Amino acid sequence: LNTFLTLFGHIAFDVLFGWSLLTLRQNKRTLLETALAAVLVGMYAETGLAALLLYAGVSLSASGLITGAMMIVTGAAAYFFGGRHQPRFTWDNVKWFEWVSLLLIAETVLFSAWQLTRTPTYFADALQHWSGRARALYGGVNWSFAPHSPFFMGAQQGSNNYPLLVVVWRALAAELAGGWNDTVSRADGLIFFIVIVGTVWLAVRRFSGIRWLAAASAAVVATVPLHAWHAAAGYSDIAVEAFTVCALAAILRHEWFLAGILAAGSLWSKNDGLFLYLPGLLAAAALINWRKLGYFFAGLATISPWLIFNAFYGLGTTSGHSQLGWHSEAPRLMWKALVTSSTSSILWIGITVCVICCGSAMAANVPGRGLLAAFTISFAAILFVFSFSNSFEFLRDQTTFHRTMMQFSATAILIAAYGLSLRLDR
Amino acid sequence: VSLQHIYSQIGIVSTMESHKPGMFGLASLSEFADRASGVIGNETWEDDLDGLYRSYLHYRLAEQQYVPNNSGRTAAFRITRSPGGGQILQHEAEYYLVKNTQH
Repeated sequence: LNTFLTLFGHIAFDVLFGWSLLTLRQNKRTLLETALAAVLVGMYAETGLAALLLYAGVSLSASGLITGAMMIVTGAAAYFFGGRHQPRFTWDNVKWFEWVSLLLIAETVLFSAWQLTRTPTYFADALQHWSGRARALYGGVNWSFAPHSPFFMGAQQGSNNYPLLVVVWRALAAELAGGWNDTVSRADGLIFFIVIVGTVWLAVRRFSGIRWLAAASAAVVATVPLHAWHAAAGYSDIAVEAFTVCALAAILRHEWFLAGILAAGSLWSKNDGLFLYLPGLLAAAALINWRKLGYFFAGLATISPWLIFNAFYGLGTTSGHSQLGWHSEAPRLMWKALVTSSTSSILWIGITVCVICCGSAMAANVPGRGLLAAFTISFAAILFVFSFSNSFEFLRDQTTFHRTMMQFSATAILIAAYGLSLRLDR
Repeated sequence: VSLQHIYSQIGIVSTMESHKPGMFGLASLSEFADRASGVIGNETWEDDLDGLYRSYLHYRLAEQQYVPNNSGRTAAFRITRSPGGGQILQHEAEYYLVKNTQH
């Protein structure tokens, strides 16, 4: 109970901080849209600030205290001296199909909560790169920021070039909870899941105005089979997915600076964000309104401390050596993974059919063109990486490829729903 | 499709709850690591496990000082499946906690 209370307090703190920044300027967001974006902005700001102090040699507990103090001061200043543009609150009676969607979402939340409370952390990458390194950072003795140390960036636990969002957040969560446990090591996944589902629901509702389409889109996202596991697995893939889909939703609301910050959060969650999703987000922003790209880049620039740190110490962004070359087995394995495998069920068949059928309508519409470009670029990037690089081995063993497709699923569903809304509007 | 997944998730919960903790292949290592953690205390440890077992052990003991195998130093304790020489302080399933004599 103590763990859940401190986790709730931790998230509430991040939401309040994010909220104070998001309401500085006039906006058209609803209360729920603001709350969902505020979760991610708060987590990104908290971990980014703490990481800056950690790079400078400050201890984890001192970094947490200083970051918390800075967030309180900034949040209070934003509230008292800022614009105080509180989002609008609207409420409609819940319709029967919305209840069905809510029940499907609640089932995944319950299944994830059961995993958090009744099973240990046991997925390989969580043990190594994410919770393993987070626990090492929390413990202090098996972590170092000295580049010649064998413990540099948690190198004895996992890949030390993986970014630190969930690593720092979990370490700080353990500080707040007064100790490490397997709930702290994975609970953020459930938060990301809720943000993903909520963002898709509200974004579709906003651009289409069709309630059943919004509820159905959220239900499809919630029932992507891997989500039920990743909401409690301790991996970072669900964090990448949350930041990416939230960034795309911000682009559709014409919130360019916020979209840049959220795109930066995707990079801060896992290197995949840089190669697979940033090009698509950039294309969407450019095609929807290229004049506002400067704001997008300004938000994106907040990730520069990590990129500079990474480049300065030559950490790189891939595990092991990276060689490019065509793998002839790739098409057959991708067909198996996307069409006949039960891991994604019929999701990718449905999305592909939807995008093809709605492609002409989307191409004739300004935001539609941006979304079509984002879909094509990200999907092509994924297919390229798994067909032409060493990542092919993760397609062959049917592991990371499925996780990567899960990262992309919410964004793809949002884009497909946009296409459908154009068709339905005719 | 969703209902099929819900049904399978209910099955997973039911099976796990009725067989816990034996469902996890790592259960014996988990119990071993918890007890070894108490013995190691503020001393150092090393291991020769590999794969998922190594990852799991390193996660469980991440807050206690590890000595990397190629560091040229010897830890106070060794966790191994092949105890060889040295004083065995703890043995559970196939895992041994050995006090390194040359430390």
